[in-house]
Amino acid sequence: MNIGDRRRIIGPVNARALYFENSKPKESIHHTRKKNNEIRPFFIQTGLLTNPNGSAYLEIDNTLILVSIFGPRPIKGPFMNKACFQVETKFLPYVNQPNYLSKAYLFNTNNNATEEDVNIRRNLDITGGSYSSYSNIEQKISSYIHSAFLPSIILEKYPKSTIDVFIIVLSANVEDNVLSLISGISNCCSLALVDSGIELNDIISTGISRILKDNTVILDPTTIHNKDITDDGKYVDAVISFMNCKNDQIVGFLTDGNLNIDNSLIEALINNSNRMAKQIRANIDVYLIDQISSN
Amino acid sequence: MTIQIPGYVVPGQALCPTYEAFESRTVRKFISGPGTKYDSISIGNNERSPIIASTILGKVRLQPLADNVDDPSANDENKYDKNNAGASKTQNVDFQIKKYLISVLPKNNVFNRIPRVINEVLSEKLNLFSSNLPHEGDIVLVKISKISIRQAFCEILVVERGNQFQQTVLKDSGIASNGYGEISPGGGSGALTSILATASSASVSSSSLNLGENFKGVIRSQDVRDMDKDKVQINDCFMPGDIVRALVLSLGDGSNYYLSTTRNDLGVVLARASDGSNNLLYPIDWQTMIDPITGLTEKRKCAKPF
Repeated sequence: MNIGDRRRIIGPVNARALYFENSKPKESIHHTRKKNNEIRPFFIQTGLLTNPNGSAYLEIDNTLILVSIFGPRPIKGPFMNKACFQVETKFLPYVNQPNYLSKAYLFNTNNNATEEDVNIRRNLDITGGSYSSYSNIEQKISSYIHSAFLPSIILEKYPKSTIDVFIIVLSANVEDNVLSLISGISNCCSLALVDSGIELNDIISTGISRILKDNTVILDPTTIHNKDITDDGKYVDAVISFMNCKNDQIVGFLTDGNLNIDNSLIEALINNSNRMAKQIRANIDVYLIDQISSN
Repeated sequence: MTIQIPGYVVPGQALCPTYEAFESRTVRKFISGPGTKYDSISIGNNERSPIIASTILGKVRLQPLADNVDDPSANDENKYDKNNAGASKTQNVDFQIKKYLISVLPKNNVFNRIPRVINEVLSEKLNLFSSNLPHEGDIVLVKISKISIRQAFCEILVVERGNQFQQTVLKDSGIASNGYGEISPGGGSGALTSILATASSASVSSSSLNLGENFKGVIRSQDVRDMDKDKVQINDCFMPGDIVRALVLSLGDGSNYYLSTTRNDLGVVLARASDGSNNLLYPIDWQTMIDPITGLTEKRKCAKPF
């Protein structure tokens, strides 16, 4: 105790520091193995926040996502005869951002990037590159959501306005697949947009599937499945967004992995992701209809 | 056989076809109302069928159209067809078309009070702008925020549509619509309240934006009244803080809607005395308002109260 410190109320002289028993951090739960063709249960809730026009919360395993929609609200600047749509993703400061991205994903145009290139790119990401405050993953997620939801929102109905989507990742499983996170975020955004009452062509539902070298299909791959790919190291993941009520139009497509992609593989990925997307869509629809018909 | 129209719908869900053979010699025509849009679904073999689909989450409302009341031929035919009076128009001797407006009412009931009796023309107008943003021809209530020699600037508070008022402002507007993310380039005061904001980002955004995020409007001096347009003095017509009923002339430029008060029923509806007493003013004629307590009069372009 520093007796000279008069600016603080210091404790009694005979005070002792609290002592905590050495406790092990709890093992992360929910890592039970699921069947390959099952999707993980998820928790959804809309309207948790009151300030935004719409909001949704989604929870899958340890991944917690909160999306809020502001809009239509006025914009300054030149006249726009339709709404401007913006998406912004943020991981909370204490959340470890999944920094795992394969080479092919980082360099979509150049699959032969050397390890050095990847390192340079990663360093760029850390320092921010040309975008100051967003990490590579935040930008990727934002751009995916933006392009997937653009066909859905009827922007012509809202001249001179902006519709802003703010995605906050409250918690994410670091070892988890980035694509799995994107699919969760996308589904959460759909709910938030419906909650905001903004007119939509259709609800976007997103599914994710993985195909291994031996043609094994895994829907909604999780951390536990990462072990499967270490055996031979060859796999491909695809996260695909659909408008299920509009003849399953594809509005978003992102792949990751190192398996050579051909037409039949793409078809299998689309079919399986669509299977998952339809299950999610059914769940979302039931939740929304329940909500509206209960009052 | 009639189709089953769902009671509650999610966005994208099909509601009904645009035409349906109803009973013998009767065809039901559905017209897309607020919360719905015309769409088409594929019915195999590259054929597409026109339908009406929902665009929002809500409850479906089906209402017969009291159509073409001003069309004398329709009235004549309705006389012969007393069973379907008000809901039908006989276009052809062979079959009859019944028109219905189908709309989806959201939970917070923005469109709850669609006029009871509407015709097809009105219903199309309703759907054109089913959002609650101001559009050309709408009557709006605005609050004057700033006046200059040439024009009065204002914020649009509500849109009056079909004898009701629809809020245009967001839930938290007027104070600050606080997104908690980074501020968007186009606007928003999110950085002020953001959990991720730093002191510097807040100061930058608050200096560049007015607090509050209403849609802005402007009443130019030539749009205040029809008589003696060139002699209009804005400060004899409006003062900051007045609530004014105005007509939306156009969506205007990027920042302002263009508004007009050139009608007897448009103008200042609520004003307070500028002598510091803050008393309510009452109109005594179309260009004078009086404070009944002090007896002082002030000049305004008043709306006809009744």
